[in-house]
Amino acid sequence: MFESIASGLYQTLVVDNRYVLILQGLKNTLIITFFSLLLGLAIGLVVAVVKVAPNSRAMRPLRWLSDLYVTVIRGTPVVVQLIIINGSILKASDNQILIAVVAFGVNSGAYVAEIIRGGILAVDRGQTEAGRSLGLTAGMTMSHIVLPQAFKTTLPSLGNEFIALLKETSVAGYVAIRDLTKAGDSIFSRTYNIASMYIVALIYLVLVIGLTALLGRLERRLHKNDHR
Amino acid sequence: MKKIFAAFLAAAMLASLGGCSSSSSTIDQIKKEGKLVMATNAAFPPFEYIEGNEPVGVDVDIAAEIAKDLGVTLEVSDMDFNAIIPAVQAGKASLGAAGMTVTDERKQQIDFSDEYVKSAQYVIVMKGSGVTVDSLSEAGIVIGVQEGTTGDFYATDEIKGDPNTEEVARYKNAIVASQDLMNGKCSAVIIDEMPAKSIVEANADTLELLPDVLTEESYAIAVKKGDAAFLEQVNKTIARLKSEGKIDEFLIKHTGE
Repeated sequence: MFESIASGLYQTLVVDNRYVLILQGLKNTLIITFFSLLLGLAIGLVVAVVKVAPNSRAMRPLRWLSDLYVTVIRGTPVVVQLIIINGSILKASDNQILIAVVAFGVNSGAYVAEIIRGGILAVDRGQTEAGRSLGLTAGMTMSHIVLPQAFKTTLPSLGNEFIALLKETSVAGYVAIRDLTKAGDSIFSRTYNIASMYIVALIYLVLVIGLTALLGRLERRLHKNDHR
Repeated sequence: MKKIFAAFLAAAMLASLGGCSSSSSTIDQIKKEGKLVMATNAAFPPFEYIEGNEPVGVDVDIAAEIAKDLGVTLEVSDMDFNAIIPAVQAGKASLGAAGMTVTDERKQQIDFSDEYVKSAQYVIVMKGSGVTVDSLSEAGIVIGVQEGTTGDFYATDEIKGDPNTEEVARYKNAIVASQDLMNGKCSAVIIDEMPAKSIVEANADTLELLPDVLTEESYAIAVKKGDAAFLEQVNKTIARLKSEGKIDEFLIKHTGE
C-alpha cells in the first residue's frame, strides 16, 4: 500500500516535472484570490455604505443599483457568472487571470456588502449622533467612527467569506484558467491517479489554516484595546 | 499541523484501499442490473452529442447494439472526458465509449476493444488569421484543446514540447474551446477530425479547418482491465457491426451526409 502511495506521488509530482504545474496553479490561485478579495472588499464597502445611507432623492438611483447588484449576484451561481463574464462581458480580454479576478471579485462583493451592512447596523446609533454633534460631517462620522467599529465586529464573518472565496476560485478551470484545481485535474487526466487531487486538497487545507491563523491574529490585535 | 497531516494521510490510505475492491465480472453486474452503463462526454459530435435531452451519436448506437446483444437496456452517463477512465476502473460504468483514441498511456489503465473507426487530429483556426500548422509552436500562439484528449497530449508534448507549457488552454470540451477561439482568446483549436468538421461547418463564416493531418489514430471502447469475457463480448458486437456495415451507416446518419 505504501508502494502504491509512493508511486502515486512519484507519478503526480516527479514525472515530467509535474510539480511545476501545481506550483503554477498555486500561484494563479493565490493571485486570483488576493485580488478578488481586494476587489470584493472595495465593492462591498461602497455598496454597504450606499445601502445604509439616508434615503434622499439623490441616493435613490444608487440604492436601486446596489439592490439590483446584490440580488442578481447572490441569485446566480458563480460558475454561471464566470462563464458569462468570460464569453460575453469581457470576451475581448485574453487575460484569463483578470477575467477570474473580475468574476470572483464582483461575486464576493455582494456577500461582503451584506456582511458590512450588518456590521454598520450593529454599531449603536449613539455613536453616529455623538460624531455629528461634535461637528463631524456625515461622511467623516461614517469613515472615522462607524466603519472602524463595524469592521471589528464583522471580521469573523468576513474571514468566513474570504475562506469561501479561496475555495470558490477552484471553478476557474471551467474557462481554461490554470488554477490549483485545474493543475490537479490536468495531472489527473494524464496519470489517472487520484493522488493529484489529494495533494491539491492538502494545499487548500494548508492555505485555509494559514488564512484562519492570520485572521485570528488580526482579530486579537483589534480587540487589544477592549475592556480597559 | 502534524496531526492534521497524519489524519489526512490516513484518509488517503483508506481511499486507496477502497479503490481495489469489487473485482466481479462486468457481464454479471450488467445482467444483474439489467442495464449497460456507457460513460461518455456528450460534446463530441458526431460520436456523442445532445439532441433534445438525449445523448445520441455513433458511440451511443454502438453501445446500444452491445446492450442489445446482452439482452439489457442502455444507460448513458454523460461526464467530463477525463472522468471516463476512472469511472470504468471503478466499475461505475460498464464501458467507456467517447471517441477515445487508443494510446499506450491509456492501455495501462484500461483494456481497449478492437478499433472501430479511424480518425486524425485537425486544426481549426479563424478564417484569414494566417495561423498554420508550422506556426503553432511559436511563442504567443495559444492552442485550445479538450482536456485529456489526444489533441491535448499532442499540443503539449509534440507542438509545445513542454509538459508545463502555459500556451495550451485545456477546456472542458471542444465547443467551449472554439467559442474562445472565435472570441480571440486562443489562436487555434486541435481536435479530432469529425468534431472539427462539425464545428467548422456550424461556424462556416468565421472558422476554417487547416487541411494538414496532425496524427492518424483510431478509436476503441474502454473496458475494465483484465475482464476478458466482457472484452470478448464487446469485440463480438463490434465485429458484427463492421461486417454488417452498420458503423458506416451510423456515421452517415449522424453527420447528415
